[in-house]
Amino acid sequence: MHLNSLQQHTRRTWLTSSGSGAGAAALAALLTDDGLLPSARAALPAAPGPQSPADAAASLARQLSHFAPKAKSCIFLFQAGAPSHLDLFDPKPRLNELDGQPLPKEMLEQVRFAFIQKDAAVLLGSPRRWRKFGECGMDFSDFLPQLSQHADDLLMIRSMHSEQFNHHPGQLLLSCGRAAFGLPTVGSWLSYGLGSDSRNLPAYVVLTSGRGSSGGASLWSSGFLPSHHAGVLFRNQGDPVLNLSSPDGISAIQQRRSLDALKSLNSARFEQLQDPEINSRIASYELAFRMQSAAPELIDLSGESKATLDAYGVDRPQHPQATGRGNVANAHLTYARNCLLARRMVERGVRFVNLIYEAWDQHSDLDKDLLYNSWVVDQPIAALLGDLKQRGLLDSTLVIWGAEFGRTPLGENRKGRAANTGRDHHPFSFSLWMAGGGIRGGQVWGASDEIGWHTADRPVHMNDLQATLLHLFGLNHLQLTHRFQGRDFRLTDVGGRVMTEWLA
Amino acid sequence: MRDISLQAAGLLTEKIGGPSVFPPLPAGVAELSYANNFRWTESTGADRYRRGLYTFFKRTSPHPSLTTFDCPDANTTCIERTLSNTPLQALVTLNNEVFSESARGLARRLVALQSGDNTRQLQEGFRICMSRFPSDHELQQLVTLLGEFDSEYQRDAAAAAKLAQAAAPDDSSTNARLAAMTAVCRVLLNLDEFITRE
Repeated sequence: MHLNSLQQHTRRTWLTSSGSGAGAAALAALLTDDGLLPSARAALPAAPGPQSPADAAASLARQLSHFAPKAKSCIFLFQAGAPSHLDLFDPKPRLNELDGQPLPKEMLEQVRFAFIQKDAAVLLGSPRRWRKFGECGMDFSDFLPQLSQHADDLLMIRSMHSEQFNHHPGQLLLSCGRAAFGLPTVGSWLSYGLGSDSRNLPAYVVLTSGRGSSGGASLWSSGFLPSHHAGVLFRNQGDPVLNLSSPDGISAIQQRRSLDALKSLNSARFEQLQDPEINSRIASYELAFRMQSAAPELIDLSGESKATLDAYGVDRPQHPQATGRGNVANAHLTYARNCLLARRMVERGVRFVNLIYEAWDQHSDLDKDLLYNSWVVDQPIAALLGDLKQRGLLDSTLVIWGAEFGRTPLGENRKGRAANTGRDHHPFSFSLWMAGGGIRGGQVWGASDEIGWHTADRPVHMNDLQATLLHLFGLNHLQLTHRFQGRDFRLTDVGGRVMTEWLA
Repeated sequence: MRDISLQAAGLLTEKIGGPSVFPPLPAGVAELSYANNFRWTESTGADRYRRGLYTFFKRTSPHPSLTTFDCPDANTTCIERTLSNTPLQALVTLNNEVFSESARGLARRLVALQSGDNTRQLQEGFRICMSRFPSDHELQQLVTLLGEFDSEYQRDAAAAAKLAQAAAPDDSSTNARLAAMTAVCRVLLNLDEFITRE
């Protein structure tokens, strides 16, 4: 027996007894995230320095916000592909007057496009009809009739800019703060900084409608943060979460019995070794078991009233002119459903919901494709805003609608296609809106110049948006850091200004 | 972790080198790649069971089992591997297809042993996985567990056939035995002692 226990003096025994406390910290983090052990934080050893591998401990220590948060959750309505702000949010009468005319050569000298042949390109006016909505008098085109009813809840930013003119780099800049692989996304930073409020569900969930995204899984990666901060993709078919169902032939009772056996054998192992990592594993397995019932419950809409389902348009008929890249895999139904799921997730404590609809890359056929995509999103988003408000959740839920860039005032004249039926990628000035979560609604912020080429007033960089987002969650973007490759990294890279003027 | 499970099941292909392989990928994952233009053509035969490091790496949509287990991003240098222990990892090792195949493979190995004695088979299974024999207490728990599963699968031939996926589906008693052993092997392959490298 003595020999046997000597043999057990292994790496993990040393870890446990050396006072690093990594295992204890990991367990405490898991239990706290889970709401099982609210006092775990108090029982924790002092957090080691930022270079320690004990990320869990450092993470846990950061679970106290830097200051009082306004937002608890964020729903990011990611309109990937980049909608034409010039046809939705930012009317440009001067652009219409100049329709068909070239830009002065010097304006194009330092500029690159994805597809436009710039020597022959001409400006393209917008055929949209515009009106002002709400007490604030916010402009919307006729393509968003339902969303425009919520004008007084929105902050419309008309002076966003980015330095990336292709989709994936632009999406990475928006999601990670810098156009590079290997970095954590916004939701991962929130999970890292604040932990989870949900007992049975992940802190960070990803929903998609239509055709996936240019950036793929890099848009919900945890980068150099541990993988439990990564977004969990909820699927539109089969298991809502990968590997959620037990194998064929294992019943729920048998799954429970298997877990009981695991718990008992693992506990005996813990008695012998006293390595808290073992208890952490037991807790992980129990949470996985609870997720097996919580995730199906989440996506089961049978408890929602008919009025709610109809408001979102969960069963609505297809648009008579369904067309273009937005009309994939019943996107009009999955988008409505995903908006409703987003509300259900927020109710259940999910921190960050990333709802991706990659549909807006209208290099051609802009008018009819934009009509269709706008129809797909208009009703569900308006319903979501109304529903959140009515349930008293909008004050604590930040809703963001936006994309990696906007679209050019120039018509696209790509070789081999009919000229000027679409617009190319435009990062120099575009629009994005936010609502709820501590944002003061009914504001229009900034402006583009008279043809929508550059920002003309109070420009906002992606990093400013990210700094403000963290601020709304009570986090200082300069202090929320993680040491990797020998230096501290943050979401806002080396930029970022908190836009205090936006706050309620 | 996948590799040691396959090894325990006797399924691992030990070939070294060669081009990347395409083990099974859940539906809907490859479609997330840029403009949905990437196709994952599943490898067949021995290439399904190569070591995980030979798995093809698609940057915009890596194999989810790799990302769930903290596979570092190969686009940047990694000076430190993260250690994590998450519910999603538990779902993979409990429910993912390759881990079910491994449990079934290990069960087949054990049931095929000359001795028909449950206790001897469980002892051997435990030894294959942990490189030690079980204590009396551990063995007793496994024997009880096997008995419970066995009586259930004797009663429910359909469930037994699904789990065992046996070559001789007519023989319900063999199926039940294989299914029960598979269920117990699934527990062994999820034990902390098996998963944690010393």
